[in-house]
Amino acid sequence: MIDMVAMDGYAPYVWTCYGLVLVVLLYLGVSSWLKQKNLIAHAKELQAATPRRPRRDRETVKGAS
Amino acid sequence: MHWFANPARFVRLADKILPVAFPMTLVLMGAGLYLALFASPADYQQGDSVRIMYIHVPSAYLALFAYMVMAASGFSTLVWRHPLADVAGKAAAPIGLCFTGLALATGSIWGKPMWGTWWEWDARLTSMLVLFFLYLGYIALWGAFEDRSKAARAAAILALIGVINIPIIKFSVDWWTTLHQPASLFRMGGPTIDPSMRPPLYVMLAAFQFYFITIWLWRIKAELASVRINALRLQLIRVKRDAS
Repeated sequence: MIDMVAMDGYAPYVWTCYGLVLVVLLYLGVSSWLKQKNLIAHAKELQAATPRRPRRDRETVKGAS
Repeated sequence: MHWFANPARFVRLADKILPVAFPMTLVLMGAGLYLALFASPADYQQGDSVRIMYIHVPSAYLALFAYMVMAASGFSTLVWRHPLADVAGKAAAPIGLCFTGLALATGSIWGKPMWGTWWEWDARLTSMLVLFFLYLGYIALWGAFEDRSKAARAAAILALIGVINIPIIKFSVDWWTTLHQPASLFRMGGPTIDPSMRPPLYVMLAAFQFYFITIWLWRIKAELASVRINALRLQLIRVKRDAS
């Protein structure tokens, strides 16, 4: 185990690389997930707040038949 | 192809893929890290620094893959005006940028003990740096226009012009004398990399590929929601104006 951490003397290089990849991938992942979650929630709120447009066309069809 | 053009239908499909892709990413990433760090041998020349390769190669592969996705999206934006295409391209760009940055950084950190230098202006490294700037330019173009469709067109054109860089990156190690080593995995005649190093590399490649799919779909969903929000806002303004 200690051998693994020491990485044959390459420890600073190997662990920096793995750390960097982990941090970047986690950041991109979490931020993308939060972004879609928040935006979808916001879109739903707006959808609920928007009144449906009156359907004039339906009236005309009814009148015509 | 046009079946996907309906955003609601696409979101339904994405919601079917995501519950598979996300856990697959976690499982493969865990297995890949274990194989790469603990269950694979050190190289007889490079020692344990070879383990950097297991994240460097998948990062570089995804950097190119994300660009191909972006270029294909650009093509369908320009030719078929496919309404989902620009969304797909825009969603892929930040992922590609991150992977290009990671490929450059991990390569550089490996280069210091192995080559004795952080950086060399050889063809592979330089063309990869150009890719990094292409991603930045693409993202900047999206932000440079008020009108969404204009931004989409400009970004699509840049993505298509920049696609020439992809074969240059891939074949740079064959065409020119580079410090960077030639391909040992994706090459004609099969891989030359030692069999003991294949499992961690293949598992990591799969993990990164599933990671891309997961993040890409999340970002597409976010972008579609933001388009919807803009449309609803306009509609609300119109309703209020009509009422007053």
